[in-house]
Amino acid sequence: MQSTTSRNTHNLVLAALFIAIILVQVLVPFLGYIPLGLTAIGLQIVIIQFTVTIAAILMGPWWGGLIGGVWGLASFIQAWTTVYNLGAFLFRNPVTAIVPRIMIGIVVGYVFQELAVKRHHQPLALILAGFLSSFTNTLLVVLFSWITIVGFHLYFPGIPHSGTFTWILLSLVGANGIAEMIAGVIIVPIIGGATLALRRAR
Amino acid sequence: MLEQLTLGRYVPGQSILHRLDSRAKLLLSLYLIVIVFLTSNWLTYVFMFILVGGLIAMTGLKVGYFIRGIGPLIWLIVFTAVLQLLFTPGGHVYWHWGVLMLTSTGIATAVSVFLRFLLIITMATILTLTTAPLAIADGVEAMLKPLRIVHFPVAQTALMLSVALRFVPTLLDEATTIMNAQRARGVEFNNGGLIKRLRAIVPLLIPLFVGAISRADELATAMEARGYQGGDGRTKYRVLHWRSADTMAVISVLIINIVLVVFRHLN
Repeated sequence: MQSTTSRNTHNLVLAALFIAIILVQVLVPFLGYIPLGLTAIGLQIVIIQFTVTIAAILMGPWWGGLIGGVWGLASFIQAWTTVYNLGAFLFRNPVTAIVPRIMIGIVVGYVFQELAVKRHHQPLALILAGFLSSFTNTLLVVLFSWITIVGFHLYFPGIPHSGTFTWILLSLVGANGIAEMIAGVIIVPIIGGATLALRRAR
Repeated sequence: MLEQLTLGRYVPGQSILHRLDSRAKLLLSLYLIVIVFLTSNWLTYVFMFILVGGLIAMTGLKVGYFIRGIGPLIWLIVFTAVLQLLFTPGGHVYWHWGVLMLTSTGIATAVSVFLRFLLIITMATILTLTTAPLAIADGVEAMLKPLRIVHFPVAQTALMLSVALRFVPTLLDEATTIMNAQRARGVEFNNGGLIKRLRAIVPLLIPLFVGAISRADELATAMEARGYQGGDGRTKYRVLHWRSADTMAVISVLIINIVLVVFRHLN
């Protein structure tokens, strides 16, 4: 059994390395996104939420939330400084960029703790974690964008003032989300299983 | 592919901007980026472009670095501007077809979006070209200090940030190596449908994560062996010094802000 200070140092450094992975994935498009041929209009699969998911699985909901928050902040800054595609316009709203990503870490962390740590259903927990990471992200991003655009009539510089355009944009995000949920169910159990096994071996 | 990354790259130098205190540089860059949104008429844009040109000259770096930083983004900025041009209603309508339209408001927004992006990206590039990543982390730590009152773990946050920034280039190298190793085994990253691409990304991500986890373990053990106990009160190897040049920089930026507001209300 490790002491509390030692556990803290380990988690601190591990979190730092996860932050580094997130930064690498945000900076190098290929490591953070899987382009599906329609990148120009925004159809690409984001895989950064799986890094947040793995962090939440290994370190628990609060660290997961922190790593998610870093991703949110990075994508917010990125949306303002570089222009990727239509999706980037949504993340100029700090709430849309940051809150859903923090929630990925918290939701996945709690569900995994309940299912895998307390009830020992690890394979099921991993599949659910993969699904929930993309589901939470997509649901909250669409919800917050809809609230800001339709509910508050707020427009951000870069989002053209047009109802049709808003709906096209939000449906694209939704379509992406479904592909991301499929990706999560496949990728997270494989990577999560490997990293958890490594953790246990040490 | 990974070497083309210029945004976030640091080029060592001895210019005034390089030697500025990182706290001042970080704060003033953010401030300048925010006041870009004060631009309204052509006078304010000309003023800001002269300012950015002056800053580039002050860095003492070749203009090539900046062009390389902005080059890949220019088409994306143009793309944003074109979207504005075709989707913004309002003002005099020159042409329209279905949901597409060309209006006077659209043209004005497109031009201002284009120019503002150019200004912001150039300013961010100036900051990252002249400031080492660890100096940025030090600057962030100094700015977070007031949060100690609400028991925010400033020292830990700063440590995490410096470790993360330290490992970004290492992980980039590692990712390149893994990618080449997988290509050598016949994995194709840019082909096929969703499932095929997902299967290609897994052998890339697992070594990356596993590598990061073992590195973290080793680093944490090494830190404890050297007596790291977390928390405040750690001394520093690099100590930040606030000099008169930094005060001058703050005053100049405030003057720039005032001039910008005056120009905004001319015309």
